[in-house]
Amino acid sequence: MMKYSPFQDEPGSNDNNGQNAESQVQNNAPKHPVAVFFHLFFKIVAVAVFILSSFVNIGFVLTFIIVTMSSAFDFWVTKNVTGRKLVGLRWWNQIRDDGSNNWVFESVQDKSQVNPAESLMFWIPVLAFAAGWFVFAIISLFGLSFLWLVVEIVCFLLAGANLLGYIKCAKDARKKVKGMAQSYIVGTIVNQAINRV
Amino acid sequence: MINSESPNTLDEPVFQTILRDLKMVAFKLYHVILPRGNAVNALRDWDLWGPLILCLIMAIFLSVSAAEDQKALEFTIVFVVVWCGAAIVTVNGQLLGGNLSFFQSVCVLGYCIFPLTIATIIIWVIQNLSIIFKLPIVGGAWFWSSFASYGFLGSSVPDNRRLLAVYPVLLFYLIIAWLVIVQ
Repeated sequence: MMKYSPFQDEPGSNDNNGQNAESQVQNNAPKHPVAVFFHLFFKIVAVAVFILSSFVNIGFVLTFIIVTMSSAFDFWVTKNVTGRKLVGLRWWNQIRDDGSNNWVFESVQDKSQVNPAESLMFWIPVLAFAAGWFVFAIISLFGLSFLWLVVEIVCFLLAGANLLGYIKCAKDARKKVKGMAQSYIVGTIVNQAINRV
Repeated sequence: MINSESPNTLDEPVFQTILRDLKMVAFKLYHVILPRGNAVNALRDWDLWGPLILCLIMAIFLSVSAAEDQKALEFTIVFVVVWCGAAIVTVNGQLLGGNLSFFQSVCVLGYCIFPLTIATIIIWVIQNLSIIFKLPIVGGAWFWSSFASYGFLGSSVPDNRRLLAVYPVLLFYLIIAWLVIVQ
């Protein structure tokens, strides 16, 4: 069996067994090395090719395609895979029948499944990637290089959408935990009251 | 302890995630080629993969046939025309009281450049095609694009304003078609 396949982050463990083992063992080593790798890979490729292209002449069109596609793949991977693997969050933007937006947030209830080191490794690249493209775009805007500005705006929009989605999702998760705690407290109070009567 | 009404996809295998999105893209492309009645379902899950890839393919083929010092410009112009054009047409549709969300509409307009992308490739493959042959190919693709997008967008705008909404769509594809012809 393959040690780490991209389709299975926990090799050789069934869902139930894996989860039990996870919640018992609290270690700081990354549990999803494949997810961490892909979380960083496309981001680094996009930025590296973008910066290298000003030193090595590989042509504007090729750079444009590589950077845009890397950003698009990164958007997909971050939105659909690494978010739920690394921090247990996922956001959707659904369309209602009347055409209005509907944000849907998913989050794991058991916070102990989220590894703090992985959480950092998730949030810092997401933040840095969006911030990086914003800075690049500002530089190009004042340098009047409008062709590059197009690339940077595309990448910034993709990175920014993910950042926004996950910030909203994290806020929603916090609210849910709070709501659950409150209902738990209310529940115990009611139970105690019933027991006394 | 997860709400039963919200979808629970946090534990799904990555393979399944990829497959679902690929199916979605294929389903929409199919609907563009054969515009049919139940387009509303295809629309609800919008994505920008199709538009991005179709637009990049078109931009690549158009820039390849451009002069050496104009490749970068040509490529960027195609890219910007497709995305900004789609955004402008969308805003116009919304101002006219359309009930599609922004990304849904951009998604539809982007997917519907598919025939024009095919026309671009055909013209590129058969080099040195004279304008007599180019015109019907691109014209047909233009009609097809407009027809497919009308099937998606037409019902979203109130009846009495439909022409006002459709006209910019025709213009949008006409500009792209013109870019294809002058390659």
